[in-house]
Amino acid sequence: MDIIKNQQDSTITIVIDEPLKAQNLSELQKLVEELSLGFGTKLIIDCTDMDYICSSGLRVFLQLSKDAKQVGASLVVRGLQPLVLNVFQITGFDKFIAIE
Amino acid sequence: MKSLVLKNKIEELPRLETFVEELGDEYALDPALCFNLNLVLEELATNVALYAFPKDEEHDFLITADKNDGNLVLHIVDDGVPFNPVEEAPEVDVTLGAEDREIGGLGIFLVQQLMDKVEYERTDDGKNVLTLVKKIA
Repeated sequence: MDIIKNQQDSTITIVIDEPLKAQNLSELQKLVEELSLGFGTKLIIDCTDMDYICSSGLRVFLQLSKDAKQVGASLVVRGLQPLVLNVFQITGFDKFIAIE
Repeated sequence: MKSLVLKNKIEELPRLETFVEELGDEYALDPALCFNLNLVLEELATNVALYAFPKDEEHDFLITADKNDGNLVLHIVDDGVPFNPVEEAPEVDVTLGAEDREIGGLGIFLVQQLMDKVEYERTDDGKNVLTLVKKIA
């Protein structure tokens, strides 16, 4: 997992390149804590190589979405694999998270 | 029938993955179902490991799987405190926006969506038995 900050266009990209499970969730949480979302920040979560998500992982996405909304930042989730996308759809997360 | 005994420790949970792989081979499950089973079993086993027993006690709990009448039938059995996840689960309204969505309750909701049937029973000899049924060809 990695975080890429681009000052020029105020985008922050979190890359999750492994299955998101209970065991490595704290790694993502650590990255999330490092974030400083401000008004107009575009947060991108690149999930191209994330081939699994547990329900605790989903909670992190929900929390991020809440945080972003609160400060006027935007959140985009990119590259969801079909089975992971299915989980986002079943839980209605696709209703409030922009999926590209 | 396939079965797996786990201790009530988070470090035990990765063993579920191997178990689901074995189920996939044994019952010729498609990859999508295996993906969903990982999600479902991880959620339920995490609940047992974290909440069913006092923190300082070590206990075993059991997961079994069998094919019956074109259905995959799973049981999760523990002798911890009585807990009915089906009844305790909060209602999840999937039409709400992020600001109105609760952080909790997602896991059991997903389990209910991904399985055809989820039933809870507290047995006379003091066990929680959760039965999951999913149609397979």
